[in-house]
Amino acid sequence: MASVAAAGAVGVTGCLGGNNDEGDTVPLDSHPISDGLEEQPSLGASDAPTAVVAFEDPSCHSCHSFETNVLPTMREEMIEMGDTRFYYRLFTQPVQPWGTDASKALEATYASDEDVFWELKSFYYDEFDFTTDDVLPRTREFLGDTSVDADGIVESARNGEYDDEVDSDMSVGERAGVRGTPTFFLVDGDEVVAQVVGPQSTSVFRNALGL
Amino acid sequence: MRLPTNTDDARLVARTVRLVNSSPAYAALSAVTGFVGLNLFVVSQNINLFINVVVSGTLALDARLAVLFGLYPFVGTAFTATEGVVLLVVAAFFGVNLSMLTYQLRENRVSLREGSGSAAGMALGVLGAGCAACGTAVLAGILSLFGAAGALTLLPFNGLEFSLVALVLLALSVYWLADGMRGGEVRGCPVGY
Repeated sequence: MASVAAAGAVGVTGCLGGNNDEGDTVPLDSHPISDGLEEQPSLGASDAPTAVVAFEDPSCHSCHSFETNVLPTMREEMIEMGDTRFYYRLFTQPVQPWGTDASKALEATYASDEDVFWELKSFYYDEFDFTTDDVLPRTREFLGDTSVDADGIVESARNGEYDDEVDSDMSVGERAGVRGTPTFFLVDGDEVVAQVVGPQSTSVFRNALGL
Repeated sequence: MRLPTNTDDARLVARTVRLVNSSPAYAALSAVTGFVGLNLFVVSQNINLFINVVVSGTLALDARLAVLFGLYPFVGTAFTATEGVVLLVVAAFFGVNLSMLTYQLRENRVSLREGSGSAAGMALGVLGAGCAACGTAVLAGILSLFGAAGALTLLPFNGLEFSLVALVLLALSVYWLADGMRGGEVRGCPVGY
């Protein structure tokens, strides 16, 4: 069961193409989502028997709905109970143009401090009224109250220093068959058992994973 | 094609729908096709989950049902209250539309042309339900037709627009079907002029 983490660490890029609409489970280590999975921001025990791998866009209203209405109960009922590990991957599409800069700032922040990354992510979803002009200035202001180098992070986001990381997540999502956000891959042991689209309830996730 | 313009047209539609659905068979057809439509709208977004978890897999029946029902408006969290209401109304209109179309085809031997709004309404209903997730490929494709690829910001209601257009198309389709019965009888009762 701990192979969720182990398979992710293998970092094998799957070649399955990914939509998997026809059904059937897929071994995690041959699924595109396993590519670099252990390097992604995650919540929960590393030996959790199940995992939810999320692909989200900071500017997507459905992701906003998931983050504000569902994730809190998922944390309480699944993640903090040690049953599930939650991975966050960016799938930056032009839902709102400010999402691209927000994604770059998230990647830059994650490279600096994972705890602050989660705070910044919550900031984006909580506020959710950004524009392309104000997203980075407000990011700098928010990060100014944290332990990271706010100016450095905003500057590297502006310079495109983390574009490769954003593009890499996007590429993994596309290979996995992500078509919209939020999309989640449910992992039970070392098998990817299902794909969930939309801000579905914690009950859907819990029951689908047999918890 | 005529468009409804006054309250008499609305009364005609209401009376025709009521007369057709006063037959238990057509009422059942409305209910069943409406239910099938709702399932298509909801499940089409999560076919993989439906097949892998609800249909196959090793979960207990109650867990499968919890997953299935959790996808629906008002039970789960994927749709806002407004989106849920619109989706249910679209499904109901879809059911009524198909039963009236069936009535016309069976009883009056008319062509399928008047029911063409059904297919368009169904397609838009699926699209509207798809907007529960941001930036679906279908949605992006549609927008690109208008030179607006990547500009999902053009949808201020986050895709609810598609469901509302579906609703208008289905309502028009029901009107045209009712209009085609004008002057005739349904189950011995005059439809009206």
